[in-house]
Amino acid sequence: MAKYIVKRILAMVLTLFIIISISFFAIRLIPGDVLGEGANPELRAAMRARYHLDKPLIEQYVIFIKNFLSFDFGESINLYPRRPVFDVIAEKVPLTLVLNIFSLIITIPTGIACGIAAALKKNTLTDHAISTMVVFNVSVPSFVFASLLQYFLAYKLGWFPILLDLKAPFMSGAQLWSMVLPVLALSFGGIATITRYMRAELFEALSSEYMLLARAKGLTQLQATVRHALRNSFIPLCNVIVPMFMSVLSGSMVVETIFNIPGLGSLMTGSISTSDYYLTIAILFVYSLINLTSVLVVDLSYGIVDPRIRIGGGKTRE
Amino acid sequence: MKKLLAFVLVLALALTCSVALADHTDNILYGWTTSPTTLNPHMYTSTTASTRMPNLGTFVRQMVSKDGTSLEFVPEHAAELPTSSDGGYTWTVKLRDGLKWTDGTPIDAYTYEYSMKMLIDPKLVNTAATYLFDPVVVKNAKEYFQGTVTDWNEVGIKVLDANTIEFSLEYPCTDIDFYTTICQYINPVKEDLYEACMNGDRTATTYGTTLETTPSCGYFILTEWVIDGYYAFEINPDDPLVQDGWFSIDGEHDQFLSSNTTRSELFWNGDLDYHTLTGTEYDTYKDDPRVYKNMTSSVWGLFVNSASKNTAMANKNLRLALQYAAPREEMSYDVYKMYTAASYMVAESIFVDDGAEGTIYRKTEGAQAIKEKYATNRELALEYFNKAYEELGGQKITVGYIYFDQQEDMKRTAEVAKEIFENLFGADRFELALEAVLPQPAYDRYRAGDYDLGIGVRLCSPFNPWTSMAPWTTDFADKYITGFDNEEFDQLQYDCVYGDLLNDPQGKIEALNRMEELLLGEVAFIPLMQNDNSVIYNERIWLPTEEFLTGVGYGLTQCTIENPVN
Amino acid sequence: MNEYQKGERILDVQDLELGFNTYAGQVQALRGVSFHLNKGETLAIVGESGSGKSVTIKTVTKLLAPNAVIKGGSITYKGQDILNMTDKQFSQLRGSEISVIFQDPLSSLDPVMKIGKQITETLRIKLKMPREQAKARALELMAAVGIPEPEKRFDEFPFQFSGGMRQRIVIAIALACNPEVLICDEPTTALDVTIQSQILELIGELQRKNDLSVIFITHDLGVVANVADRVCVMYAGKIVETGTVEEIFYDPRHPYTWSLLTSMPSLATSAEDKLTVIPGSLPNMVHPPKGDAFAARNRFAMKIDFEEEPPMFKISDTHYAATWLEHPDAPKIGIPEPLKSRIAAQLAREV
Repeated sequence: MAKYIVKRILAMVLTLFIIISISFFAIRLIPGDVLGEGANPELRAAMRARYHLDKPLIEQYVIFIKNFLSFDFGESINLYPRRPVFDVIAEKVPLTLVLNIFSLIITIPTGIACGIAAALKKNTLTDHAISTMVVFNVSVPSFVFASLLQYFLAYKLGWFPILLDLKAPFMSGAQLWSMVLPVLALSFGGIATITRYMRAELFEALSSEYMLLARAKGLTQLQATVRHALRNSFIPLCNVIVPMFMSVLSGSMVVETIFNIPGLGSLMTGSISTSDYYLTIAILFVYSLINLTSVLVVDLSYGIVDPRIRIGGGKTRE
Repeated sequence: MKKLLAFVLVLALALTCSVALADHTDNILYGWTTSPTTLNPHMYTSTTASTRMPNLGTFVRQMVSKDGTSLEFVPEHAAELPTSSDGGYTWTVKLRDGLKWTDGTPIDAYTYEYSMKMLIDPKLVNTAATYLFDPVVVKNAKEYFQGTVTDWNEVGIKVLDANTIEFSLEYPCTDIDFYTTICQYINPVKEDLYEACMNGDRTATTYGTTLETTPSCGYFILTEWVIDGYYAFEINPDDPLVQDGWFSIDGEHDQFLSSNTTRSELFWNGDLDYHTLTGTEYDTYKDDPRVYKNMTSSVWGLFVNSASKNTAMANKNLRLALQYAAPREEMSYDVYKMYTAASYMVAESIFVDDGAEGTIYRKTEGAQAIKEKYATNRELALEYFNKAYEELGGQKITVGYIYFDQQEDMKRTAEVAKEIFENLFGADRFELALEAVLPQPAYDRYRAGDYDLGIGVRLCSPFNPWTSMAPWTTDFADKYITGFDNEEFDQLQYDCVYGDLLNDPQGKIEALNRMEELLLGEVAFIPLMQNDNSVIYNERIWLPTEEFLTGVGYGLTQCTIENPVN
Repeated sequence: MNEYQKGERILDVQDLELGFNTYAGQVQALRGVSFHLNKGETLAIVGESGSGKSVTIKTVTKLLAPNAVIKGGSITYKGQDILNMTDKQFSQLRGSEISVIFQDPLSSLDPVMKIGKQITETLRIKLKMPREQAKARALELMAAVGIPEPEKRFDEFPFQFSGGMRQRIVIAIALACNPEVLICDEPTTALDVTIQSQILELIGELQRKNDLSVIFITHDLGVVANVADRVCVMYAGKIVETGTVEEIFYDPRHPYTWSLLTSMPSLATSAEDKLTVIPGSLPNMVHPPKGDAFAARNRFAMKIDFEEEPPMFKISDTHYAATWLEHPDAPKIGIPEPLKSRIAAQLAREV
């Protein structure tokens, strides 16, 4: 197991290196310059020299890699002038993290509950209602939800504040209340995904042979469902849930825009559209790291959760 | 029991009253579309340029006069308006006594000197450095910035004593020039904090990027700042302008909201005092008395390339035809709805010195004449086109037209242009070939001369239209190729900015007239519209002026708020 | 619950009628099944695939699919009416009174739960045994069913065992709460022949030790001969013949039973011989035929077989057959060849 993890981590490092190298060249292909149209030519020359943009591409790349290895990741060019890129990212992390974690707290139990309800009552009204909800949530984009929630519940009815309350102290009652709408908007999609998975898995588990045996040995339907069917259907759910955990740092740009949340969501698009090279690479790096780690954790989690993989290795004994 | 109930009721009443009273602050509630990510006066960002650093003092402020009728230049940190005794080459700024930061640290001429020295420091490469050499050129400022001059003493900034700074310029400039550039954009920085935020090799400082690193010494004090969230100011009782009674509000609260729907909801909910109207909202409210029109200082139009590979463009009659047929009214009123159709180069808000109180250039006789001369005239256009058609051999003429990609309204204007031109001239005789290009590549193509007609704008300074004419001179470094190459124009432009006409207000106005005539006559540019916008103010806001004043707009910061307890 | 003596009837199924609602119509799966189980004996229920053997058992243990409809009949266990019990009530009987083991042990066991826990589960939930005691009992059971090193294997998962071992575990689970009745639904079909005999031996041994009553469902007559005391032959949802194992093998009376016995290959069958096959297949059970369901495939069918269903004719106290051939007025056919010679040869060997 340890050897496997080490191998995977080395592969991750290589992948990250390739990612930032490709990004390095790719973002310089996007039209746009460090200063906009009509800027003073002397200033433009000085800015280009400052960021080595007047040197040949390969030389820029070498400088970039050297700096990267000595942990000098550069500063933001236009978006957050002169601030080190990771400071910028780190500043936005707490809020995004909190929102996403709350969203998970709602998404996972709700999704599981809906999935279980739908599977247990397959083909009844409950099941159809839940399935309709799933299709709806999956098709309608999160920003439509966000806009609707904001318009009806905040603007028209006034039950919630229109914006995230940034004045109130971090995690205070007032701020938490203002987080309800954006968290809901972020959750709808995830609920649908988990519900679908759970319903399918549980339904399969319920009609399996071991359920029959469980009942045959005297467990009631409820006991058999909880002790056997549910446990078995949770295992494939790792596939869906672990990536959700890992995506706690990804921001939803549109939801953040609508509720005035200074999170990570708009950072990526903002940095690309203003040709903020270093910030863009830093963000890509952070997200790639998270994604790769997520994949690794999912693979490992299967090994931990599913005993067939953990202990297996194909050997059965007489 | 009854007594207890009565007591509880009274207590409740008292509490609600006190809560209401505690909320009593006359704060302007403002919403920005973008977020200022730095309040370092040495870094230029478009957002901070328009706010002009309310938390920092500067030499001279532009204010709405106390009687609400005109723009007034009021000395803030300066004790009086700066003067020049040698025709604009040397300027003397006298500072008041007793200026200080909110923590008591004093501000004097040396503070300003340090600030300016850092501003053009060659290693810091501050993006606002150009304030010292563009358009007003301080001696050796550019060279110091570029590193060719290394001795600070050679730069034209001298501290004569703790209250006096002397500026030596490369080229002379007028009062208005000096007040609207150096006096407006040069702010002090707090030295100890600035130094503390420097990195190891002194190539960058994080001064002014967070609340803790942003000190105040202006008419406002920065009290709260959540990056990309909002910031809040409180009025600064120690500021000279405040003490002189220029402000009646208690502070300002600015949200950074990029979503227009959210801004709209907040405004109608009473949480914002100011809201830009667009689209259907504009249609609904445009006649509301709370709506005011903001005028921009630039004119959008089509750059015309008479040196294009498409030789038809060299034909002046064709160009004149296009100029007179241009759908400026349709674009401004039908597509964009709130823009102003323009048949001139210099916008309506440009304010110039006329030797007396100053005047709006566009209102002068000569300027009016040009506006009328080049106004849309479809019959005249057709006449010119017929001539051009003959001269070009009676063949169908195709002209390329570049508009900005990914903007719906832009696309519509292009389609309108195509429809109008082709209908007027006859689709069998003329075709407008539309091409969608993103803004930056579009401008690159204009620079390269690879276009026939291309929409765009050259930004204009609201107080100095002559420097803004520089891009049309022959030797301009960053020019767009239009085939316009006129010695008289070059000479006029030079004289107005560097030469004899600098201190001759009337002469300059006439010269500007002539420059417009030359450009429009040669059809190097077809003006289309001014991108004005309309804003609606909350009822509780009482503006100091009902008329748009160049440089200060309607003076929102000087407003009075009625019904403060909501 | 009274103590029942050996030989007393503890399970009684009378005229059980059952249908399944499907899109094609209602399938008549059981059309009047009657049999009984005496304490301490092994009853084998034989028949081809689709005859209704498993369905009968599922009805008895109330593990039917939701689209099943019980149309008539009764099931009595130790005097209690089972059919009208709720599922919750019957859950108490399952495992502690009546246990079932199924055909495929790998899919029967929960793949992600340790087998030790699967065995102790019922002990802890139904008998409320404390953990240590339950574990001790489980280890006992594992030893009793012949699993080597039970201590070590207690914490292992089903996939770590071979097929035979898994079936032993299933048996251990079934016997955990000391049931009276053990129902085995083709427990050895999925196993290879050598293991099969081990399992059969084990079941026999456990039956003797724990005084179980066993119902054995199978289609394999060889297994029946090995383990059964009494046999019921099922065809198309009805019991067609029932008797002691000797009566069925040496004196079969129903033509279907004859065909079954004949179609079994024996040691005497050589490679060149063609196996006897019963032509045709089960009739359409949505609309069962009038008369004897076997008539279409029965070369001894008489006209009345196509018109009226034969009742159960008594041949002896223990031997009954539902065939018109047993009617006093029917022609006396006797056991046909080659079955007759086979039986004779078999009897000769046994002497």
